Amino acid sequence: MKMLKLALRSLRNRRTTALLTISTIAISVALLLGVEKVRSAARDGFANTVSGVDLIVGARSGQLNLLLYSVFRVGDPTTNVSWESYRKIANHPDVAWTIPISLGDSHRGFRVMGTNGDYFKYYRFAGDRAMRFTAGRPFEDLYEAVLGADVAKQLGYPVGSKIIIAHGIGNVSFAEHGDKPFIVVGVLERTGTPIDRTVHVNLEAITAIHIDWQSGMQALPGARIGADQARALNLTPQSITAFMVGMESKVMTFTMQRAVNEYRQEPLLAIIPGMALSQLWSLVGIADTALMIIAALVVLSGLLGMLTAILTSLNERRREMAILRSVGAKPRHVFALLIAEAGMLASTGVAAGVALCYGLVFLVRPLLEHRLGIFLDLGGLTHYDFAILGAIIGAALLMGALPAWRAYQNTLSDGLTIRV
Amino acid sequence: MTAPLLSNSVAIEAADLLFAWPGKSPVIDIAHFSVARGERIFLRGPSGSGKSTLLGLLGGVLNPARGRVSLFGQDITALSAGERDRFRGEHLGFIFQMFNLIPYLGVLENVLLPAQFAPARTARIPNGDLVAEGSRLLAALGLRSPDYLRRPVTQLSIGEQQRVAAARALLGRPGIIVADEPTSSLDYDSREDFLRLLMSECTVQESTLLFVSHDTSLGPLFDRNLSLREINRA
Ligand SMILES: Nc1ncnc2c1ncn2[C@@H]1O[C@H](COP(=O)(O)OP(=O)(O)OP(=O)(O)O)[C@@H](O)[C@H]1O
Ligand SMILES: [Mg+2]
Repeated sequence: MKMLKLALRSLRNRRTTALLTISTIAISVALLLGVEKVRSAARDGFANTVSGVDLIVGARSGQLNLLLYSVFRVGDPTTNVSWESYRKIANHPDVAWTIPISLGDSHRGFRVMGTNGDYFKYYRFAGDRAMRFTAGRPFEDLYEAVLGADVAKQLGYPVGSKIIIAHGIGNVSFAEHGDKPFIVVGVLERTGTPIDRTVHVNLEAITAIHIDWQSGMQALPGARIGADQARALNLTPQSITAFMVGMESKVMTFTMQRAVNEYRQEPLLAIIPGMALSQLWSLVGIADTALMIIAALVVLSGLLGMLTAILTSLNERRREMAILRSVGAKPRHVFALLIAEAGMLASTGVAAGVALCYGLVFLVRPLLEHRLGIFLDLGGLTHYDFAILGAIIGAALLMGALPAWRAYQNTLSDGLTIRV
Repeated sequence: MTAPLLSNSVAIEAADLLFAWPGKSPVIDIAHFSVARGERIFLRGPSGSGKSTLLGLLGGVLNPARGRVSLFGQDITALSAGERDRFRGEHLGFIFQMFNLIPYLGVLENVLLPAQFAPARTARIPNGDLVAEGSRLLAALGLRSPDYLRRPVTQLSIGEQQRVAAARALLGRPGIIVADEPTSSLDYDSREDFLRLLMSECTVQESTLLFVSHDTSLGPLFDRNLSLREINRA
């Protein structure tokens, strides 16, 4: 106890170096905690993109490919699923509901997805959250659209706006479905998932806007079919990009998956979203493990800075140790003095680092949420965080043992005569 | 344990004492050396002759290769390292040539430092009132103004620092005061001044004084003058 007090006084006497050491540790700890927070937030956000869906079915390609284009709207499907196969599976008695997905067009860089009303009803994210509307309602009529939160916000579209869908994907598109404009009838609440960046329309509308198109070109003016003319035609699509399946009973999921994968008429692939997500995360996770290692190394260099500071102070403090010895301090008191210093520097640094991290999280939270859909948790430290912080202080004490041992040796060999 | 020890009439006794720093030839080789209780000894010797080394041996900070050191009849070489540390804390007060004070503690805290490591010294203070005793000692040594108590020790003159160090050495009436050239950085007048105050306080506390210096002009102030050469065969 008395050595703690002495160590505190001693550190206060060298407050410039002490403060610098503490800030180095604080910054490195804040970085480490911050990386860990973003990492777990990203992982959660990732796992939260889709739930409530038992199977995703698409043309046979890779698992990840199917997951990426159907859920994350990244990349393109190679082939489609025929309408017959879709209907056949959708009508299977074990299947409770299906959500068809048709992708391929865009609006000012945002993907347009053709689907049906079940999408708003059954799709879940972040555990068991359903989509909610901040304004308007689901689409009903053919040329109606529902916008994700980001689309509405970034483009500034209120309900009632008219939008033109571009053929194909990409920011700049020359071919537009200008003859068949859509009316925005609903805007969704922010989900923090790719839904926010999607324009949703009726599956039939996708057929309608392409009805007079052939191999990427609209028919010549004379052969065109107008928006209202199209309404009268059969708009059932010949194929869709993929579809999501909800089972009557979860137990049947694997059986159904196998059945789809062995489907004879057409090469299909069924994936279980949770499993595909964790497989994808294991790839993405490498980068974030690397980030974590870098952050840990920064902490290590912070602690080494502390070690250097204490070691350099040691020589000019030999006199101090001799005085302590002369008044009856045992070598172990000298040892304790230096360990206490290391402990105080590290724990103050860790505490400051935690505060700094929370300050930063508080500041960047809106940005991350807005730009990346990552929700940072401002809540307390997790057990894992505490374990990390404990390990840092432990490492500091262990490092402090080095100067402490040196000082201990000095007091034994110096006797009471120290030439300064 | 303290009472019978202090009743012994011999304060310091060294017999057949041999010490060498690692890898060097012996610096201390003393057949016999003793100091009576209450005696004030002036020990001189050229620089590097081993005076400080001898003090380290007497204080139990250094271990002799051979021989024995007894303080008030207690053979400290027979004690364990921890017991020796405690014995030193309880019965010896040290004053060094320079840099006597812990820079990050205040004047009073420096004076009271021994009480932290040697409870026996607190026990010997009237009413156990550390602050009163510390102030009394500082005043006795010429640092009267209470303003001193609050000043950082680094702002004191060397002479003032030596007085604070002396007050610390005297706190809690240790039986032996060991002074290792405490006056060598003072001018002649302050030197005598300091010594007189130190000696009168030693008399009040009945402490034995072992004073080391190569400044022979101070010799006449002591009961006995001794050259390390006379007792050291190394
Ligand atoms: N810690 C040490 N390690 C190794 N050798 C030492 C150590 N301290 C002192 N010595 C050696 O022991 C010898 C005696 O040193 P000591 O300090 O006892 O001399 P001294 O008489 O006190 O000198 P001074 O009057 O200059 O203080 C010297 O030769 C010195 O080099
Ligand atoms: Mg010396």
